[in-house]
Amino acid sequence: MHGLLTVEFKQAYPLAVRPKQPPSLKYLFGTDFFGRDLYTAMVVGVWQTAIIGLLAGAAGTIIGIVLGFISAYFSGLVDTAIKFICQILTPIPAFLIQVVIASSIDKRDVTIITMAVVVFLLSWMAPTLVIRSQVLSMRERQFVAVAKLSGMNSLEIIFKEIFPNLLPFIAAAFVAQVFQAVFASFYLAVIGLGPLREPLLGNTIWAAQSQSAFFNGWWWWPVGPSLAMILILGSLALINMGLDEMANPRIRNKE
Amino acid sequence: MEHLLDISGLTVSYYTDIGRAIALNQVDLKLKQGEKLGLVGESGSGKSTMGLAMMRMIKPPGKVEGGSVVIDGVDLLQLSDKEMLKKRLSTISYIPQGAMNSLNPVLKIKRQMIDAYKAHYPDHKLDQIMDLAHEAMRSVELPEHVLEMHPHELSGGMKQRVCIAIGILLRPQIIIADEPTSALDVVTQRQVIETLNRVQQKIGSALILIGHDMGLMAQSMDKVAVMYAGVSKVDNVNEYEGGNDMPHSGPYNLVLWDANQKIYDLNTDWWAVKAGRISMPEVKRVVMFNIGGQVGQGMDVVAQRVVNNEFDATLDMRSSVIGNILRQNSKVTTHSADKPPYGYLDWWPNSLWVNTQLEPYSDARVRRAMSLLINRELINEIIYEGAGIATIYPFPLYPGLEKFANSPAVKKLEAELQPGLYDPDQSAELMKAAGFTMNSDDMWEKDGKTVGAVINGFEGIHSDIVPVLVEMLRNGGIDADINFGTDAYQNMADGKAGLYMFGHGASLKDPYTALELFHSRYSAALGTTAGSNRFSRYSNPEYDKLLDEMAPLGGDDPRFQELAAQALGIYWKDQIDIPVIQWLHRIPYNQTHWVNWPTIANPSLGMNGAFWAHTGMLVVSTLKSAK
Repeated sequence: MHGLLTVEFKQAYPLAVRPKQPPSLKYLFGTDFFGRDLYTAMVVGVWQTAIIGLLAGAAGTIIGIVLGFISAYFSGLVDTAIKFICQILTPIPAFLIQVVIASSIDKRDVTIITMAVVVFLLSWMAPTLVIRSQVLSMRERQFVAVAKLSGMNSLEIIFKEIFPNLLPFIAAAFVAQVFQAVFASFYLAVIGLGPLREPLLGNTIWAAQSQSAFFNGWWWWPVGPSLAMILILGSLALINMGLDEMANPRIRNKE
Repeated sequence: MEHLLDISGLTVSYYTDIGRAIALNQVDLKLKQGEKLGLVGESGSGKSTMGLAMMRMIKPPGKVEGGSVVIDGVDLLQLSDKEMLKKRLSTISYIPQGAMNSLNPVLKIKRQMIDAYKAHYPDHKLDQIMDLAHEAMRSVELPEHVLEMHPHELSGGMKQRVCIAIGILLRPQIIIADEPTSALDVVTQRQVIETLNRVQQKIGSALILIGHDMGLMAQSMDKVAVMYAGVSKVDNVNEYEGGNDMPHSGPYNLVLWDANQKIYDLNTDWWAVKAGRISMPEVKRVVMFNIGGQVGQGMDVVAQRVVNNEFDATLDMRSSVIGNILRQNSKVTTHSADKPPYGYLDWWPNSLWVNTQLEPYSDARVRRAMSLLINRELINEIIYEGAGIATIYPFPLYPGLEKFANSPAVKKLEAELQPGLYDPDQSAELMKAAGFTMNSDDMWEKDGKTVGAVINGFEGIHSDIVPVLVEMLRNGGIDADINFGTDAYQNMADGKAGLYMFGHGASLKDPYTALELFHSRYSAALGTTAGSNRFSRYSNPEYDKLLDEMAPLGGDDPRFQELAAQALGIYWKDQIDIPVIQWLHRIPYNQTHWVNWPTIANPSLGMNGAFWAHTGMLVVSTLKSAK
């Protein structure tokens, strides 16, 4: 956040500063072949990556919640259909399909938003299945039966009785989704399928790679975004583990 | 001599659920006593089926449907099962694919040999059999105690030789070896093949070696038959002595070609040496590596291997990379030695092309406005380390063309039209005049649409220059972007909206061919595909008239020069496309092992230094050893 307030956005794009400068006080992370300030590029890139992650993560989680609840609460044919689709899609490697979609979109349409959509398209199944199984177990609890007996309708039961109980699971699912989405946006960009002009973390690595950064001795070019990505994914994973422990006491007891 | 083996019209089919598959279709093959035949072909071409059919070992759903396999006047296909049993191993033996699984793991080698023998001569004495077994082991160079061992105690190569020993136990007239080396490493492969050859010579039988290692076949077989889709082409190969040696007149023969490499060996018999035309090349073997991927990808790895003295010459390098190669290895040189631009001029200067029939590029003011945003000095400085690579011409400045470019008429036009001018303010005025207004994102917009200038190009060769061009255009309000997708070339040919980074492969000596690229006769209509180099679809009768008048004239004709200058004037004034950079081949030549590469200092060769060009072999054949 500090970064966003202080940097000048323009410097994250080519021709803004002196090219090929190693890290110094003036350019903390150095500058690249095209004359981007890599510190600025990283600050902007982290936020762009985060936006993709949050958008795709949120969309995936919301779809997951809706489908999970519908599936579990109403059971029957709807449940079978949703479960069937999820189980068919889950084992298909998302990477392949993402690459096919990302590379067939017209380049002009590849933006931060479309990246989020591409990532989201195949990431809603996991939360759907998680939420569904939790709702299934919730549904059989005593208090739901009591609520039913006391004449509450389905919607009321879902929102007032079951939903609050599932918040830890939803939070954990959301973080897991964000993790997936950030990672997917990263690897798609690394192989050159992102919006090439934007300083997304993956794009910076792609550009470094395609300009032979290591051979030319510009070692600082891919280092910043790589470290940033490790830190982001690492902290998301830790948050996820923490939430998991909160939601699932059995894991806690094991230690 | 009479043929030992005579196969004619052999047809084998497999019957499957989805119908009949013909594995062998009317195959003919003849073999003399003691002859060695290599049977090659792609997987599934029927090589193994052929071997099995000769042994009458085709199992359902396979079926021999016709033809004959005659050995010494006896047609094997007409024999009863019992008679055939006798023939196997004694007349014709088969060394199976994958020796690993062909030996019974729980029986000693001795036992397996005795069993094989007893099947033919049940009343022979054990001593007699053991003598033969010892002899067989000796001929495959295995110690005799191997007979007392179980198969799992042996290595793959030993097992394979045991199989050969069993195969020759009864001194058959024909040995069929079905990929006997497929699971072995190259050293063991060689031993096994040598063993097979020696044994075959010793007992004087004919050998059929099935496999797909052309190098192996070429080295050790008398002739090679090629199986293709169940049809043997053996007769042609019989007539053509020399196997897979392609007819050509160069100094090198292709000896191996697979997905990873091509290997050429020197032909010491080369006619040109005999005729006294050229001295014998010093390079004995040329190895070309396939580095994989798109041209220009993974070049940092290639560069590193040049620095490590593993490669002598490579594909084109980018400017920055080749500079660093030279800095890291003083033995490496380039066409221009250790000075920029580290290469030589190609005939392919790159422009930003557009489809001049498409809005908004149909407006010459828009094209000119875009050109005014290209800062050619900055391009030289950022991408080419100060070398003057940026250009304003659609042709390379080779001597004849340089003379034309420096002629007073062209110089006057250049001063008047300023085709290389960088002036954002003037660009903005032109955009306004063309009806564009600046939108809130600082992009020019007309009828709610920005210019939408996606630059189509090729990642391997353009990923340094195109991002810079995009930024220059964006800084001037042109909504530019990049497409390095696999559809980039198709977009250019189809005339899709956007800019195309592509060269003009045309003029060498005078500007006619380059200028003629924009003649109306190539102006394909919208919706049709334009040919390569015809992406402009430009149409201008006035321009055509100049070109038509030039066509019959010689390049040195003053009238020709005058007309060419006028045409170039139209090219600049109308901004048919936006010339950006000259194209260079920057090839590193490693002098650690070989010297005498074609360079400025060594122009006597006068040839293109690219090993992939037609002249590549000339370069190689004149290299001198550095020692």
